[in-house]
Amino acid sequence: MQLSHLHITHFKRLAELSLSFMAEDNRPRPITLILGDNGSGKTTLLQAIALVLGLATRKLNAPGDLRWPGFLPERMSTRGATRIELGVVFDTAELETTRDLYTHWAQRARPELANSIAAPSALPRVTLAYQDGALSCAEGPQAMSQFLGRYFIKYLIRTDPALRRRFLDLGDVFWFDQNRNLASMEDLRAFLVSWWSYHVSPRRPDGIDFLGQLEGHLVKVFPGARFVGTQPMSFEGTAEPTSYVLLERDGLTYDIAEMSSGEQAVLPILYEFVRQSVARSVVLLDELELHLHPPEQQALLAALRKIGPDCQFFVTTHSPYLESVTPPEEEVRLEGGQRCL
Amino acid sequence: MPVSKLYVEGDGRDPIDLSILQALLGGRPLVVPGGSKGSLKPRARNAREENPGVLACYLRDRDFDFDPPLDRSTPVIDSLVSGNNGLVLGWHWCRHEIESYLIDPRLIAAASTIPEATIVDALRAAASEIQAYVAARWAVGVARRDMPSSGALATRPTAFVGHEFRTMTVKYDEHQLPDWVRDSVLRYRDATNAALADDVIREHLKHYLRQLCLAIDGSIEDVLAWFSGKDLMTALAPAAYRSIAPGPKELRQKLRNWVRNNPDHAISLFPEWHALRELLRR
Repeated sequence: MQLSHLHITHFKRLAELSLSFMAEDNRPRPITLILGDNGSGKTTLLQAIALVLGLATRKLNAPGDLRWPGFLPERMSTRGATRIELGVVFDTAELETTRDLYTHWAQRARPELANSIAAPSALPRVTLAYQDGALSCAEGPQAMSQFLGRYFIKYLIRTDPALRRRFLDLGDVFWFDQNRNLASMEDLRAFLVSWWSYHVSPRRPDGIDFLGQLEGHLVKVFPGARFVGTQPMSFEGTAEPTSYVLLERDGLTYDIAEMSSGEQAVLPILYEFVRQSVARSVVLLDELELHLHPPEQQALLAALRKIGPDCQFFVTTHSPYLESVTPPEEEVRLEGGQRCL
Repeated sequence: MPVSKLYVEGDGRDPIDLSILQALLGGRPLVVPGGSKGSLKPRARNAREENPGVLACYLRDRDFDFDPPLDRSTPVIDSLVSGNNGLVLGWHWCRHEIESYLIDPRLIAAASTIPEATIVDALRAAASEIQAYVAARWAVGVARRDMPSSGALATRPTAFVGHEFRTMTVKYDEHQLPDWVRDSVLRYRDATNAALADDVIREHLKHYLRQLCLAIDGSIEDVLAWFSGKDLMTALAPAAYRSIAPGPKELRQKLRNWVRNNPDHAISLFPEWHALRELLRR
């Protein structure tokens, strides 16, 4: 799924905003760089998209589920009644996969659950609107079900793990706030330890080498970086056995907790792309340049198209190193805010 | 040691070189806007002087400033770092400009379903159509090369050079200075007139018309080396590419975006691009 346009009325400090994300060939643009001074509403714009698509895909059950620093759901309409409208474009393969998954899901779900979701339609363009605290689709409830492909997989995967591969056929929304959503380094560590053991396993049962994929992405931004293994930590003071996850770069070997700020800003993004098989999705990235040297900023920008096939990226930035290499038709400059130098 | 910063022609208004090279190089090195062709070299040099740890270089269009090289598999060295034997400060493309690569039939075929042969034929037809115009551009371009630079018309007599902020040892001779002005201007005018003489320009025109004829009869690489990519793109029959773009401006944008979305494939099409990446990362 990709966005064709957006209209916002009274969402946080944004009073009125209308943007088109269509390129000259009448297809959604793969990357939009959102520029503007501090306080112009760049992050707010990303939050608006995350909120509406998050609700549509059932990633969020209510606005209060959106955990994003600076987003207070009870204050989003303090300047007037909020309305957010998104134009969403689907491709044929995505629509077919969603309908196919729905059929399987409807057979396995509890009847009351199955009856609560209409069979998805196959409309290439849908208009989604959030207004008065509710989400609706101008084309009806069947069009709303077009957003649920990944929701169906998450249900079915419990009994059919092979369906995981079909995540790559379906869109969703993913966002990375200024903290890169990294709730806990220990969660990341636990995943990486498990991925490493599969990665080095002499016999690999049918599965996915997540660590190999992650390393492939990592090297695109940090040339020469690689995972070199795990090493048990001391058991003193810990209830659970745990391990260091060791990286090697520029001749140094270090644990993921010892990564540079730049690596800490990028690894969680790459990790989520691999863990969640992100493809064909709307991806929101707040301040891409965070903690990164200028060459690493350009490296990450170049890597986005490779790590997220057919994704549509919305990137906020203050970086002249990103702005200068982006064609003007791929930039949106928001007015207002505090003038920078 | 790899290059850390590459100055490229252009600015934020139409960053075609910047956006393509950023995608091709992926941040290694950092690609930064260098403004006009003439300002690239001093910018790269200044960046090195300001911070010796920054290995700054530049890449510029070849334009009409140089004839195409015989070996087109690697960018041409444009200048060396002074005082450092063999260290390169900048390169220029073997072809005229970035559009000369975008319009390559192999690239268009990779970016669309248009057969390579269709573009080859259309390029030859376009080249024939603009041959006289491009020869005229070459003639003026070569005349510009042969003209003395504005620096050759010095504003300070040789005897005074190096005397700034020192006790003057030479006299301000109000009788000799007008002679110096007259001689300097005369020398400059003579050199300029020689470069711009009618018969010289006519000879350039004849030479480049012949050269462009040979290019059209030769390989398509010759056409792409001798003709400006922008001129070819403008003259290309829209029927040849209508399936992907309504006009030359949209075609350029479409091809630019294909390269940005498929940098590895694009690099595999041009040994020169591959060589550039290797040179910068060596």
